[in-house]
Amino acid sequence: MSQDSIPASLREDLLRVTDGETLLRTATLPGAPMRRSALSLDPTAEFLGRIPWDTAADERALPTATLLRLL
Amino acid sequence: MTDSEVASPTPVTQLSFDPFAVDELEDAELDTLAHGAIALDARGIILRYNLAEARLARLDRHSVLGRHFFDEVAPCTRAPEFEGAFHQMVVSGAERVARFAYLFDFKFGAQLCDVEMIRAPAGKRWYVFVTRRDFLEPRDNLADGWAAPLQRELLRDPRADEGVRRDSAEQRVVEVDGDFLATLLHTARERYPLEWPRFCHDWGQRWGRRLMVGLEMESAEVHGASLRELPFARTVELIRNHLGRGGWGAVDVDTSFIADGLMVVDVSRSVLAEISETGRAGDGARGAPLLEGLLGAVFTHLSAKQLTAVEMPGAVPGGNRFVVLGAKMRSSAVTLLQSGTVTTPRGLLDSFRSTRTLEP
Repeated sequence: MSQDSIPASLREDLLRVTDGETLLRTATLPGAPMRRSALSLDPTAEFLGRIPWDTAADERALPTATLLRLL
Repeated sequence: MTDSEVASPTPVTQLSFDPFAVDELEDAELDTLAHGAIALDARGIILRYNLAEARLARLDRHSVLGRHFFDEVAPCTRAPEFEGAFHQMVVSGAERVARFAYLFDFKFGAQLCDVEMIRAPAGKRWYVFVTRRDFLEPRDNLADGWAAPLQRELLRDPRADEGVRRDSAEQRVVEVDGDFLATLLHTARERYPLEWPRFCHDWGQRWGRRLMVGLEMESAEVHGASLRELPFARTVELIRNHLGRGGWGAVDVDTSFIADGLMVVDVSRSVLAEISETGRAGDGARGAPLLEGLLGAVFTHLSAKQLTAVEMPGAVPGGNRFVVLGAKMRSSAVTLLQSGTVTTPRGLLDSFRSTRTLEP
């Protein structure tokens, strides 16, 4: 997946994250390890609508409040 | 303009609290606000000055109480839109001045802020609330006496700071050695054996709330964002560094189970666990209520909902493991973990699930 192929909504999210590069790398590098991610486990999570299922990003790069919403 | 408004009405939406209720808060509660809060009398004399404001202005509150806010502590506010609006509010009896943007000049840097001012409903006190928006380099070519003074410039007696140690934000700090904590532990255990665990838990909670105010200020200043906005890994790093620098122990957070509603926090080599143990080694009743209170307050602040930390006894040799989860689950988690039948986070989750399955 090239950076251009990332939906605009996701790109916006990634830019908003201070450490967005980590997420981008994880999301775009061919063959990047697919992590068991919090994102892919809770289909009701509000942010799933904005981050594709196959992104499998490192959840620790997500904004703190977003991640802790799962608790 | 009506009597109740000095400027155009703007709903107070950006403060995370009711500004008209602040006057009823105890000083300790005022210190848990992540906004600067300053109480003034009608002349502008400072009556109250909270922790957030003290940290960001790099002033010691004891040095500013009783001083004139506009003349002595923040001369950069002597402008019609700030000091003028304040006096107009006082004279007119208006209940508030709507939010406005203002650039504060300090000698260590400028701060772009949102400012709101209100009249306390009950008495002759007025509050100034300051929310930092941006941290900038010091401005050049300012008129003499315009920038706010540094802490040392406020001292009337040059010897007034002798024996006082301050951190980089000019806040007073003390070095606490092991003997101090050991004697505290022994005295409290002897005098208050039953109340001690509860005392430690409440102590940890209150400390955790204040700790987060300090870290929010650091985050705003260094990263230009609140802790909730920062990537989780960076927020954890800030907390870990802060506690580690103080020698309070090493903190590690495991988010493997977060999608199931549970997080694991390990605290290693913490003197805080030692001083708040509720039992003796080997008697099966160890626990670290101070750390439970501290972690509960920290993650409650970060998530903006009630979370709690419960220790998993004996899970980590030489350290303490805690599960952080919704406060509603505390009682079940404590029961399961203290019974000794559950010893792992996965086991705890399985027990929750089976309990739910059995419920009608």
